[in-house]
Amino acid sequence: MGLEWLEGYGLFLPAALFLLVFTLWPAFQAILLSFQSEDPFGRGRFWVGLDNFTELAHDPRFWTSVWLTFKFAIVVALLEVALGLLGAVLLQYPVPGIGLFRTIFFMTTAVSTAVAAVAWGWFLHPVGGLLNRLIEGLGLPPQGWLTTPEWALYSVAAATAWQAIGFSTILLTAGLQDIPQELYEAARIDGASSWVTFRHITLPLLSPVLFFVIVLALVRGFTAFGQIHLLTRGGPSEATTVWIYRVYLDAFFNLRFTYAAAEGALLFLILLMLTALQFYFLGRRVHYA
Amino acid sequence: MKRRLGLLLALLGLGGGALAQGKVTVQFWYSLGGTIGETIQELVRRFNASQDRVEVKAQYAGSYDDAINKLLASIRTKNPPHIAQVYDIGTQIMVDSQATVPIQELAQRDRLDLTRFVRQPLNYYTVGGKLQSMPFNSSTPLVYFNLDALREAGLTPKQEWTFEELAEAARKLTKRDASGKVVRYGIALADYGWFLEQVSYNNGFYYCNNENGRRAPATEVNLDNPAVQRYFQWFLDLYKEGVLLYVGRRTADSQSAFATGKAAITFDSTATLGGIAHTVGGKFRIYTGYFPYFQEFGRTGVSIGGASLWLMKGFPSQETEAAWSFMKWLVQPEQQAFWHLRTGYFPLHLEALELPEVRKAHRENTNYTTAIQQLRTSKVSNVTAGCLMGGFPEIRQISEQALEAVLQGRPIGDVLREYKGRANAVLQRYNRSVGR
Amino acid sequence: MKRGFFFIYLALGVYSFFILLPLLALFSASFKPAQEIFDPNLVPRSPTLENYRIALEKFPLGRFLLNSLLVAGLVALGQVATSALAGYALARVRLPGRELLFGAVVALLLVPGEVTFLPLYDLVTHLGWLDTYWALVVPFLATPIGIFLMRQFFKTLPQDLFDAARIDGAGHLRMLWHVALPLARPALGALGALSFLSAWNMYLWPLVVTRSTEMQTVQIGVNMILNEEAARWNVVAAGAILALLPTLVAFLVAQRQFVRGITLGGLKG
Repeated sequence: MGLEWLEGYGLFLPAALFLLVFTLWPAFQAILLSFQSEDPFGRGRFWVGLDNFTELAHDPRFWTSVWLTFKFAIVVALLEVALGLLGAVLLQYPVPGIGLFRTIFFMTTAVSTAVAAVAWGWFLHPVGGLLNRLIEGLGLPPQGWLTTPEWALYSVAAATAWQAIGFSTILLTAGLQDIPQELYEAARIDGASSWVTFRHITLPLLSPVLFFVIVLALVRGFTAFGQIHLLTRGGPSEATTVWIYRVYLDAFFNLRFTYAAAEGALLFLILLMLTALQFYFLGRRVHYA
Repeated sequence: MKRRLGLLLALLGLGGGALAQGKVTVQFWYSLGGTIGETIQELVRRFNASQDRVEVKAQYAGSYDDAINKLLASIRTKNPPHIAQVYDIGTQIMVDSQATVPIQELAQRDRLDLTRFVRQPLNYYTVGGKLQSMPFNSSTPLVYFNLDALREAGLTPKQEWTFEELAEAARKLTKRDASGKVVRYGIALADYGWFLEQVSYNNGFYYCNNENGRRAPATEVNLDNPAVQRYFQWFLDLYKEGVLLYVGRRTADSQSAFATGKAAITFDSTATLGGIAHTVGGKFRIYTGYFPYFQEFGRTGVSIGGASLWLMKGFPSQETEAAWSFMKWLVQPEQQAFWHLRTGYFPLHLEALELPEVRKAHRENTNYTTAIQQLRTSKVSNVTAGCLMGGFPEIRQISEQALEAVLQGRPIGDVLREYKGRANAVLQRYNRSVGR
Repeated sequence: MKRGFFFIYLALGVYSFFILLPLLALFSASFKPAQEIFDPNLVPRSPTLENYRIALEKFPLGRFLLNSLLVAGLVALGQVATSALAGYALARVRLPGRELLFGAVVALLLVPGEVTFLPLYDLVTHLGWLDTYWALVVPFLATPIGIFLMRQFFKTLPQDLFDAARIDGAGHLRMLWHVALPLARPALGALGALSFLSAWNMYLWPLVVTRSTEMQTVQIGVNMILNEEAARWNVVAAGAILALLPTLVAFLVAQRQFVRGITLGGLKG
């Protein structure tokens, strides 16, 4: 017994070591950096106290990024969860050939970020894009999906969500299958409509999975980088400069690494609080079977 | 440890080529893709084959933006390559980094006759009276026309165009079907900050103060100069009329719209001449003209764009010399001629123009000479030396955002005031950060 | 009943169509010659393999894919191993400060890679790992999300199993090996699949730590093709399709295992 904790720490050690060296230490460095300043080439670092944060507080472009990030993450999560749920529900019907549809629905899981970005870049292309042609076919004017600020954020969010639809459909399908059939039969005997069944049986019993899918989708939304880098580079008019992209731009493009570190640190805090809240509220309402 | 192992292997006769033969390896980061990147690789192959002391290893470092990020990160961590290709607007940043060897002294020491080089590129990369980097791929913006469409619309091709004339031509070249839908746009344009800078120069305006930052470090961006104002209006009008196809920020997209016949005119760099011709593939003839100017201001001339090669500091002199020998070799007439004919970038060395293969190519395809003529007829002054300032990559993005804002329907005056303010803030912050 | 079938098929069909649309457009473009690329027809009039030839000739796609496979494989293995160990410790060992450790792991979950990026780059440079597989693999051998998932999973295992083993005098290492891991195989598979996917999708990091073309992963390879061939979307499309093919085939072949893995991990989470 006396040695149990030693053994436990021993088991924890490898992970701890890697996390310490390659995540915690760099994160700590990055936080230190946020209280410093330097020339654009990383020379002559000096302490500036809260200067970076004071500047941030007054930087409207930073706050725009924060706002865009929340918008982006929420759109990604909504799309991903709604379409994933729709797909999962459709796959519940045991019609012949459903296997083929299952394969198609799950398929985007196999598509990497870069390939997804290229596919969507072409799909939404201002000249050759298929979407504009379909829209013109319906008699509507073509849109600059990636070139106008109104659309760009939603376009990139759609590309991001699309890539993850397979993933969330897989999870939600399994979640649906785990719901005992007897409950549905009982509901049918009671004469419940399909909406009532969905609302009172499916959703509550699905909520743990749904919760997991939502958290993953939000994290995906908050940390999406590759799609933005490949599709819009933060543009047009900074319409897709979400915070992680702003950190990247400020650190590596605008040569303000310490300022970027402050942006990162602040948003890290905000995210931390958000997640704590999420766990707290959702955790209480989620039904655990 | 690694080195000792390498030595051991070398002694055993197992070591890889470079070490065993005592060659000096030179790391060279470049950032040009497509057929141009292939040409760079080809030049490197030729250089490596031409002698047995130096082995140049060329690495594609990503797009210009990605490449300078990578380079600056490597400067921080003190392991840059020997030679790095950096775009025009990175010049001030590179100078301020103090991580490079200005090539002026080396050029003088080796009696490299700089008077035999095209003037504008040298001007562009001269900072503080010293040539800082070796101009390599230099380009100017051109107007590309679909000659067949031009003829069909009864328009006479010519080299010099005002924006007013160009607008008229674009209107005539726009084709609509019965329902009024545009089948072919008059002109396809990308929102590229370089064009705004060139519009300023060509109409005789500095893009940043203190004479483009050439007399003293620039402290203000003249984003709201009259030429840019006029250009925004011109752009907006044609866009609203459905004459102009706006493709966002990538010139690659306006280029392909032009090459596939979706639009009859476009602006692009000289450097894409080869690529465009290839995509067009003989479907129609291409005609090139000088970058346009506004009637009111008259034509001053353009500055160069493109990139130069920087010799990075901090290597043993043997390696620096090896890298320098490659740079010198690259700008010799023969290599420059090959480079010019393969890519469309103009040759840096004037003697390259006298070589028979170049003369022959110029006779056969006059488009090759447009860029050279355009530069020759451009005034040599601080206007066409081009703006030199820090924070330029960010400022260029801001200028691109300004056009986007205008296309969103915001008044040009307001937009320019706001974005000029932003650009100034960036520049002034940059200046402070390097202690100016 | 028949009418019900019809509507279900219709819904399934429409949904599939919209899911497939972007890939379909890409697939179509990859077979089009340059002259046709902007034409509205989805089926190429004169289909060509030229784009694939150019993509394969110009870009070492095989090497890119191999690098990605190696990196993602090693990262997945490492993450599964470290996460299983640490997750077990947090779930089933009475450790002083266990909740604190778990809290720390959850907090680390949220450290964005882009924030730790430059210090990490510094570190990797000092270790002399730039442009090597080390830089692509070692920093990612442990992951908070993996620890989190494994901990959640081990928590759901009934205590009786462990009590029985304990009576037999088994220590934690043996219990982990003989009791927990066999039961956790699906969860391990799920974590492996998740880790593999996220490593396969890594973008910013390989963009900066790799220099030579030989070391680049397929994501960066696609970025390179897009940068280099932005004016030739048909070639870009061919390159992207080639980059997609191996994962797609792997998915089609191992769909069942893959889905089961993801499912079990997610559901018990």
